[in-house]
Amino acid sequence: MKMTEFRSRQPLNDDDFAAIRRNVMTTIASRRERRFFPLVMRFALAAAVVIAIGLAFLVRRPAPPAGIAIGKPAIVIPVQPATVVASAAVPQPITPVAHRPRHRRPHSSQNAFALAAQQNIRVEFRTSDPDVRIIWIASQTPTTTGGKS
Amino acid sequence: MSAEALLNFETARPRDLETRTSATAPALLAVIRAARDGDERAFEEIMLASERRVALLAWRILGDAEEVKEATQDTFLRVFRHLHRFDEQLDFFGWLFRIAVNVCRDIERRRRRRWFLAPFDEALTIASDARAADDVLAASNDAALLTRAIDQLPARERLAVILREVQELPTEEVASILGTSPATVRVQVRNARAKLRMWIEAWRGGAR
Repeated sequence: MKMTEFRSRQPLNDDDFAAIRRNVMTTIASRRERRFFPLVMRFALAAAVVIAIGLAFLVRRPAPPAGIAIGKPAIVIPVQPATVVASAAVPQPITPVAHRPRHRRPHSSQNAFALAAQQNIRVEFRTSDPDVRIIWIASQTPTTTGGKS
Repeated sequence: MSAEALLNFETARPRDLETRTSATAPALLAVIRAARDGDERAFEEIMLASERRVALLAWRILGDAEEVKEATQDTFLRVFRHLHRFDEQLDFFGWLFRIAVNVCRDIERRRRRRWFLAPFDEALTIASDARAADDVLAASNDAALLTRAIDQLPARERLAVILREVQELPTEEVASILGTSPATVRVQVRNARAKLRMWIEAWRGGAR
């Protein structure tokens, strides 16, 4: 008696094998579909995040104009000391405007206060008489009393 | 490559195994690569080339036609899932048999669990029916005696005997499939053969 005789007859016929192949291929195809769907979902989620970030960037509020306090004391940083030449007859009120470029991070509050304390605004009015000048020096310290003249 | 050519390769393989166990034929390798790249037709060709050998191995281990269908199907699903892990330096059929043996072990484990969970009287009925059928067969011919004896071996010895003596795989390949050393396989096969001889002689003597 040879050991190879142990269950040597194939238990399945051609139809059984065909059914097995069909089942395997169907299962593989369905698994592929299932794997494809989460991939699509992942792409959709990534696209939604990108769109949300883009929208948030576009609708970002512009920087408030200088001199308007929003929560913090207004900090006016002149680029140069302002020099205004007014007509002698009708001196017009001159408002020095400090321009802050947009999209630039403001200085930290402590540094800004130190800088403002060091810099003053000097406004000079010239009259028709060359010997007469009106000079107004405004302090930049963030006090409620304003500057001195 | 046609399925017929692969089938010819398959039928030529058992003789091939004697001399070459560590490489896959180039023709089959090309089909495996195509299947790995997602070619379903190529995978079907792999199935056509190997399904009968897988089914026969499962039949020898499980001994139940319905379970053989389940095992063959599960084996090829696992092969498809892990085809990218297949090392081309190794023999494809050895790798395939390792998967098939693992699937059969899982099915046997499930079967044991079912037996354990089945009501006692039902299990007793199934066991006694099987024993009665086996006794009738055992009395009738040697092949039935051998089947009954192999089925009674402990799981590890039974697998070693089936792969080494029945499937006629080299000891090294059997060790690789079972995850043991060749020396262990040799010991298991020797012990199993001794038990088989003893049981079969005893049953023959009892039948007389």
